[in-house]
Amino acid sequence: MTYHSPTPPAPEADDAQAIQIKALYIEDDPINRLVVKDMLGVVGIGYEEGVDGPDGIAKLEHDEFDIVLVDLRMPGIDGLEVTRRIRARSDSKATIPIVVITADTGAGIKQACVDAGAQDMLLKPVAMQPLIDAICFQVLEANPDMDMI
Amino acid sequence: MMRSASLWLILVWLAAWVSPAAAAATPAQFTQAIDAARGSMLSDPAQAHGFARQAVAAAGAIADPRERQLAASQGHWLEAEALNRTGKPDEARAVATAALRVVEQYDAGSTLNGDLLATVGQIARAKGDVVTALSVYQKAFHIFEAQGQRRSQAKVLQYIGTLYFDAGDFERMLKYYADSAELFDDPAIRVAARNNQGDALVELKRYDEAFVQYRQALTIARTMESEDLVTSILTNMASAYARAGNLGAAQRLVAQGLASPGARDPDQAAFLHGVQAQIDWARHNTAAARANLNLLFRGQDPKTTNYEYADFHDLAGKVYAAAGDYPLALAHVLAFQRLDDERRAVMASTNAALMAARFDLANQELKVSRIKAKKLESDIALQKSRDRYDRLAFMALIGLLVIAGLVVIGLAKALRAIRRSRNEVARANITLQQTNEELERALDAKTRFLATTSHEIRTPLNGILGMTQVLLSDQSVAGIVRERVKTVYDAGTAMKSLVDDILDVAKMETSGVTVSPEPTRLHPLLNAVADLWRSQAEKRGIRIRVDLTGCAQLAVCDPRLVRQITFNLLSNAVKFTPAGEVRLLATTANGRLQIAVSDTGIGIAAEHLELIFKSFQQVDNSTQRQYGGTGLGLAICRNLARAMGGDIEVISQEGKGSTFSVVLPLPEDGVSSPEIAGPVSDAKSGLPPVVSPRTVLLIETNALSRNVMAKAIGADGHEVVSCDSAETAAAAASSGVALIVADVSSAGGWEALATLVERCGRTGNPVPVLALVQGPADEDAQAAADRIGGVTILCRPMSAAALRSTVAASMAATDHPGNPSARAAA
Repeated sequence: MTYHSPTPPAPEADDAQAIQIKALYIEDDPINRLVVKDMLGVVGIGYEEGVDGPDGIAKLEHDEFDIVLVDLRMPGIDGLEVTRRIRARSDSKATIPIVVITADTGAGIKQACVDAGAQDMLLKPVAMQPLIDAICFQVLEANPDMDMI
Repeated sequence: MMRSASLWLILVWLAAWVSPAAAAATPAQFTQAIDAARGSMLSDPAQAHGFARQAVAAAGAIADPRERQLAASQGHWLEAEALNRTGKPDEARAVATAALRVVEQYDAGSTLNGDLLATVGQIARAKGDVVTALSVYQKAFHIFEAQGQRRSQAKVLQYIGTLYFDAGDFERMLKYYADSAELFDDPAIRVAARNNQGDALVELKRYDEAFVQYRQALTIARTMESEDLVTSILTNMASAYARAGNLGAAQRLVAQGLASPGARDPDQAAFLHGVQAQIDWARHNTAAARANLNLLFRGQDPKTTNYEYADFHDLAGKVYAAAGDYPLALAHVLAFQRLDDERRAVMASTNAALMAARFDLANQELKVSRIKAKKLESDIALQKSRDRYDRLAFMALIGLLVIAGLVVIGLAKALRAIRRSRNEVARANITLQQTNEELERALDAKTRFLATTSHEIRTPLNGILGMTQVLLSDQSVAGIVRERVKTVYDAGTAMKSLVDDILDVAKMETSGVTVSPEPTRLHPLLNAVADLWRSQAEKRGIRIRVDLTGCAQLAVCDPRLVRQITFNLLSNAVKFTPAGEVRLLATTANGRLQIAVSDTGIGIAAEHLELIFKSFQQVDNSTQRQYGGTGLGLAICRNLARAMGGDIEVISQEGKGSTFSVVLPLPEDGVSSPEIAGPVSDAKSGLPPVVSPRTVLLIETNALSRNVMAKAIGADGHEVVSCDSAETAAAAASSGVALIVADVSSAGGWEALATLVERCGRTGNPVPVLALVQGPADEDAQAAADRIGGVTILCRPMSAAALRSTVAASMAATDHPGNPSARAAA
């Protein structure tokens, strides 16, 4: 890949105390990963990626995240299965907000996501502001009383 | 699996009659012969055949070669009908096929062309050639559709439905009959639909529903004063009651049937005796069963009976054996065996052909799913032109009288012919059942294909749209480069909406529209949709006005569909309006939500009003080139509106503009009063109470914090204007701002904040401020805050919940002119 990210915004003086949100994006398509990575970079949301279901689950194991974004259709373990496996955990990571991002417009997909335990579903091509809004909303919902502002 | 032969289907015969070449010099002999052939077709097809031959001969005298050929074809068509009705399908096929070739050469797409195709279909069905029958029915349907002959369309749908009956696919048969009844309604169509749906429901063992259908059919048949119809329906009902195990009712109906005038026809009476024999056998009355079977089979050679008798042969084998008449029992068992073998033979030969036809079947499925939409489409036109409707009704009445006459005169003979023709086709039913199962799989495969394709198209779009948005969010991308990136982004957005439209239509056709009503706040929803189009409209000098004064705050509807309809209508209005304004007016009254979008655009010519709601239609191709788009938007709107039980209509004046109105029914108690413009707290709705939403000016440099704060404040319905610096905040400041939430250092310090408060105007009643500072507030900060006045200092870090409650508290405490309650008091 020879792609270069746009220059990230200059760090602010108060950034030491500014809030930190870190997202894990599990997606097998490299272009989609780049897009989401750069979109999150624009507002300074931390980013980590899993290139497929097992990789994503392993990343979640070894790091702390505020939210998981997951693609629906992936070879092997798909997004719904990833969601179910996270929800089946016995530790605090079981309740992490999960947003499914998919190009699948089929009827009942959203319900399937909710049934699997996801909070929300976004349709590809996902626009930047709705993605950031969804992340902020879910993180706020999950931590209403945490000092995030 | 096997369908019983003892139920009779009613087939409507009524070719729409257009006197051939009325304007041309047509010999009187020809016209007379044609009329005579037509008049005797049902009562005496053999006689009709003679008249048809005379008509063909008389046509030879016509001078104009084209007229001569067409007139002869008219005669040949009736000749073929007559031949088929007298049990000569092979000859009929030869005559009809030749005539069809002529008509398709000289007058393709004409009514005669459609009629001939329908006849060829009937013949093919009699020959058990389901593939041909189906394909010519489809062609005939298209022709009648283009001609706007809905009655003929309905008739062809019934013919297709009958194929499914033959195939044992009763569910689908019911669907076709329901479609036909929606497409056109007159007694002949209705009586056939009711009776035949009854037959299908019996096969599905849904007896109670079947009895309802039969009773309605009986009422209609009696109104039509058709004795033969009455008797056939009574026979079907008796058979159905016998099968349902209600022997008493079956017995009464047989008696009623035998007493009816229609039973004078020996064929009709024979079947009633057959049903009686079934009842007797069920009552263990062998002697009576035997006597009735004797009546049924009187004059029939068990070696030559047709499929209609298969079940009765089966019964006769048992009855005669029980009565000790073994030679006769054996003859009937052999007859049953013969009919069964015949069925298998036909089945094997049609198997391959049917497999090849399954994708045609798939297309037919799609076609039929559009029919309801088309029918409703015409309904709107009918409502609009009352007198045209009256004329149609008058013509339908005349037609009805002719039809009723024809039906009454000749049903008995027709039924005999029909039974003969049904016979051969029926044998292929097992194969068709398998074909239908494969068809289901083929349709599934198509749906999956669409879903996959959608995925494949959206993935690269994701790259294009996502990265251009990232680029545009970077302020260092400026000037000509920014313009070019913007062009890529706009093109990508346009492509996305095209893909969305196509997928929407495809989805509607494959799986229909799912409606999920829920309590919905209409005002924010409609305002938000209008906002989506505002900038594009304003760029072109068009104003968008929204009027919601007559619209309830809350209503139970599907917000997703309402949004999509409004979006599409606005898109359409903005697209076709070169100058002026677009107005969105929503009202709730009388249990209905009406959304009207008016424009001052190019308008639509009256003759095109029908076209615009069709998929892939714009008024002409040049429109498409000039304005772009798939032409699917209005078709989608209509499908969605109808899925919600409503509809859409348009009033337009070419060159002046158009008004599209969608009317959607709302459930009772599903709407709040439009007068309640202020806070709405509805325990029933399950929605949280809303403090009237107001504009909050937010200043925070850190992008993530800004987004999180905007989300937290916006969660309560307030409109948040987000600014990243003192400069942008100064530009956004206005008297409409109800509250300022500012990170003090982001806002440029206390001095700048004071200036900002001044900029928001309202001397003597300054806008309240929530000032966020890092860590505990010092005395200097408090002093600065006091100098400005109306400032609450908040110490970071704080939680979203704390920010929300503080915002709510200061909104409630505020009593400035922007507050609706204050306004009401003043």
